[in-house]
Amino acid sequence: MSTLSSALPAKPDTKGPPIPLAQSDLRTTLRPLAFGLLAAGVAGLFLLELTIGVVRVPLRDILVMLVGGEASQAAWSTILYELRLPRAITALVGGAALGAAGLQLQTLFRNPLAGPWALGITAGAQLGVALVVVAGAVVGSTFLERFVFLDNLSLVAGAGLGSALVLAAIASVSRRVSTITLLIMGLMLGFLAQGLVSVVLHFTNETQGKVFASWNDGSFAGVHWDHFPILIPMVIAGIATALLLVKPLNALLLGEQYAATLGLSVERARMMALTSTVLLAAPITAYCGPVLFIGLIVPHLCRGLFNTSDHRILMPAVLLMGAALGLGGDLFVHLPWERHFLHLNAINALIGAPVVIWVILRNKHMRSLAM
Amino acid sequence: MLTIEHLSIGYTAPRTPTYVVAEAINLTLNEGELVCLLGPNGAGKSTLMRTIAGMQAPLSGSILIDGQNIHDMPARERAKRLSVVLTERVNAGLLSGYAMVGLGRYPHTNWSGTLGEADHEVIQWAIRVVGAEELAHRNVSDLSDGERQKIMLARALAQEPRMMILDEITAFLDLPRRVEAMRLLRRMARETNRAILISTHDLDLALRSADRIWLLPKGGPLQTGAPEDLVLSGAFEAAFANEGVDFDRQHGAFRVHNAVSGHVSLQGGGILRYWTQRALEREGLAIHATPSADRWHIEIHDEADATQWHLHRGEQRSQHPSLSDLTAHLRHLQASPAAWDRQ
Amino acid sequence: MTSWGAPATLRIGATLCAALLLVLSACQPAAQTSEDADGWTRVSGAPGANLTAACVDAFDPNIDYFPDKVQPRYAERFQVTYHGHYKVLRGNVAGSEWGPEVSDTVVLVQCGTPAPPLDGDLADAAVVEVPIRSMASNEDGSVARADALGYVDRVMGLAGGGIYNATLRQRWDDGELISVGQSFHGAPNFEMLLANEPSVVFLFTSSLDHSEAVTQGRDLGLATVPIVGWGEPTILGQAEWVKHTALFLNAEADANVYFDGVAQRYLDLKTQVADLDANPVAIWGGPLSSGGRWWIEAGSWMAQALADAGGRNPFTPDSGETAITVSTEAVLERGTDAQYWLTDHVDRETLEAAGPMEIIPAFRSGQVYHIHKRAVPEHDAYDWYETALVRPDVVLQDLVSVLHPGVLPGHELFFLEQLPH
Repeated sequence: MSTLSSALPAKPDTKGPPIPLAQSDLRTTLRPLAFGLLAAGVAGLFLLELTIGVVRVPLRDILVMLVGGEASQAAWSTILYELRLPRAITALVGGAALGAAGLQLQTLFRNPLAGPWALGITAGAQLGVALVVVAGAVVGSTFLERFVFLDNLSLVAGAGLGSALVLAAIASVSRRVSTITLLIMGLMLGFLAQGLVSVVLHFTNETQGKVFASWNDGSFAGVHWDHFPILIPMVIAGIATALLLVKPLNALLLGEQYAATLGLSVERARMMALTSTVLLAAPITAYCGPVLFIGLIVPHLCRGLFNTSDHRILMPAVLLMGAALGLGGDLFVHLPWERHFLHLNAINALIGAPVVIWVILRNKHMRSLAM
Repeated sequence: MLTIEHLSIGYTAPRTPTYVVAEAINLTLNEGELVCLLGPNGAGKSTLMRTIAGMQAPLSGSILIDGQNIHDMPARERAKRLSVVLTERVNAGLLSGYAMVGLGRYPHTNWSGTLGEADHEVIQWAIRVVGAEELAHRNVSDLSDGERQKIMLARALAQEPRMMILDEITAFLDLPRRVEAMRLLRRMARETNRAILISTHDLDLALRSADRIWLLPKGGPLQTGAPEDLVLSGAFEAAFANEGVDFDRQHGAFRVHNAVSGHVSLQGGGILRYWTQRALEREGLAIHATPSADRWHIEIHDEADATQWHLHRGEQRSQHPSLSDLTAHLRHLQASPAAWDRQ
Repeated sequence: MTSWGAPATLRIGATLCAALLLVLSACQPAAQTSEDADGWTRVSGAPGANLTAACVDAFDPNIDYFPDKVQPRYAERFQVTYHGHYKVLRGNVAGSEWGPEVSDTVVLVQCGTPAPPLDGDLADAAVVEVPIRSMASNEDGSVARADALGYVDRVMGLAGGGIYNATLRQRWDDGELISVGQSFHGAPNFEMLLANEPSVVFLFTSSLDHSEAVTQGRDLGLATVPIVGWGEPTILGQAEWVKHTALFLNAEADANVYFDGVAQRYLDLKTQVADLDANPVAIWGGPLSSGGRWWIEAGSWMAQALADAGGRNPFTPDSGETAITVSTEAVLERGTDAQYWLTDHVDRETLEAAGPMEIIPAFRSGQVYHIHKRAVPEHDAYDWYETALVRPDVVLQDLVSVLHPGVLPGHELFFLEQLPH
């Protein structure tokens, strides 16, 4: 508080040179450009998703079909509308949803390694789905009814309930325990859910177990148009809630005590953010299985790219970055590989694990806690 | 402006008896006033601060700001009236100092927190008031603890409250900075016509800067008055009686109890005498004004080029260029009782 | 011993049959008209035999367009009914570990005749026009069956390149076949299927995941048909699936001839062996990758073939199971008398790493056989999953010659091979 020679103004007064808002580094200056590039990247990846596949369909035909025209081959229309378009939309929406969920969890729990998977929310959703599948088996269903049943809201409801329960458990203790404890708790809740899934399925018809085993791996490919009437509104509601929360989330950067003194109703903000997270993570897990790492790393990539923790910038950024990562991972999996069948989570882990290590090493707080 | 009536603070928890920290508190706080809350550790300073800040419910009684109970107010309305800076270190990630101060506009902005031109004016003013112009563009996570508290203070100011509640905010600062900070707060209170309540351990500073002191001894009751009134009434001595220190009413400072291990006499005056006396007291020596044959006598020789401390008893003499040298020699003498005790 | 023949012999037989049918059909009042792009003709009037490469020109509801019919005698997982110009194929998609007892219906409509109204018990049925012009399969059994019937040229797509069949191997290497998926257990490649439009897509169905692929394919407009022949409890039932494939080719006559021959040879040998006194203990199984556990054939058509060969299986299945999972301890305890051991592991190390196998007599004497003598591992091609499914008689001959040396003098093992001792 060095120099206060001049008399203090009693009222707001901006005499003197304007104070710079933030370090005028390149990342701050180029923010609009970064947003533009991200948006262009998402659009480009979306188009690539529609264009690249085992069957070569010319970009021209794709564009013609997209504007409502006729493709040169009838089968291309089915390939585009029934296979590639739903998958691309799911990857876009799923990536964005997981990114927004991850950002909210990281701010809410003040934990750089929080994410739908790390906190056991994904596992909770899986457990919910497993119970629904088992319940379905007990009730009984015929061949076709099963798939109507899978499309049914009950699957998403199961996932939503399971993830909400885990989230409630995590939230109830989050204020009493440290960052690392919370992560370990999340991990253990995850294992617990996985163990329960395994045991529950062991005591029921093996087929249900097989449904679940194949579903255990994340993929954006299994989603059809029929699923969108449930999936899309839930995710949109989740994203809308997240966007409404940018200001409270900024206040929560200071911790709950400070946030409360700034006029934030902390309980309400927490409830809204947790609801938003469930709305985002549960339907994606229900329809796509556990998609790992995207929710965890997207917020960090955005903070690095935009050099800020301001949610007014981060929230749109994670939506775009999440969509880009979702599309990119899915595109990579569905490139016309000769022999191999790649798994989405394998690709996600290859990108995600190094980012997590980088976060831990860079974050003084985490590093010291980890010791 | 702030009126506290029949306030009782403490904690309630299910299945445990209510724990009362302090009760029957009646206080007022006026515009332009800097009030320091003082008290020994464990007396309940933090509880009182948190209760006044609305972060904790009172057991009974009311806290009124402009006649309205702050615990009945919506959070946003309360935030427009009082802002808080806490001791805890804030780890806010990648926020510039400017953005951090901007968060102070929280209760004044729309749903998305967009800052208007008027908001920017307030932020710039707040940054200037605390002298944080150089910190505004830097990331808060890169700032030192003191710099960070400065930004947090600007943030509290940008909130444009009627009253600011500052909990131990000078704890991170070194002594000169603390003096400066208190002076700044006093001016802020005066010139922006706000009330500032600050809790501190820094008794000396509080005595010199506060318009009024709220003194909270262990077990109460809370006493209030001008710093000097409380000194003269002996309230300070009473409040800190059991802390192993004496409150020196003469100097308005604490004096550490030390068992007397010997006696010396001292000759000399002015500032040199004062600090020599401090050094000797630290060594546990009782100081007498008149020399005597059976104890060591110290004379301060303040020459133009250097200060010398002469030590003698009978024929034994030594000269010391510094107090460190002198006290070392005295310790050496005391180590052998034969050399020390002549009587 | 040549009576089990080579597929080549059968193919000649099938070709002769086809030629005969052509001659027969020429004698009938049915009149041929123009040929289409595939060289198919259009015929009118009542055919003397099923039309294997022709469409009906003027539909007459009173004509039975399928004078040749099949009925499964051993197979339990499909049934067929004939309705003049269409057949209704009902499949028990699965059961026990192959999935819940649920059924699937496919309506096979003679080309050139109208499809029946899809209501009542046909409400959810898929419709396939027969005879099919092309087929794709992610399961090699259907391919082997088509080959046995002489229709290997109708195959247009396979899952991956793992095919042993020499003709298809060549066509795969020449790039003439499409890939419909990575393998039988991977998801089908719907883009490829949509772009190439095979008349029918046979999908191996072991779990609901694959059943879902059947539904998804149908939603996309593909004629997907689940194949669950592996779940048949008897080896003749498994082999009888040649009739299932024949339904799509209108090759019922060929299928009956083929299957009757195979079944007769099988049953003759079974009877011959039943008169022997020897019932050596024989186990068919191998260690699971998870360690400490083994799968043992019990209740499967393989276990049944082993029993028909006079082998005594110390393991009995729970109801409905085809293979059981047991611990190494149980294997060592109940296998103490096993004189013969059959497995799909081609190396002895894998087996011996799983436990102290020398306790078991078969391992001490070297009577351990694997089933992949006919294989090209670098191509992921194993004839056991192809020819063995249509030649149970040869499988039984192999087993008998192992379990009862001297009963089939001069028989050279076809599928089985002794592991080096």
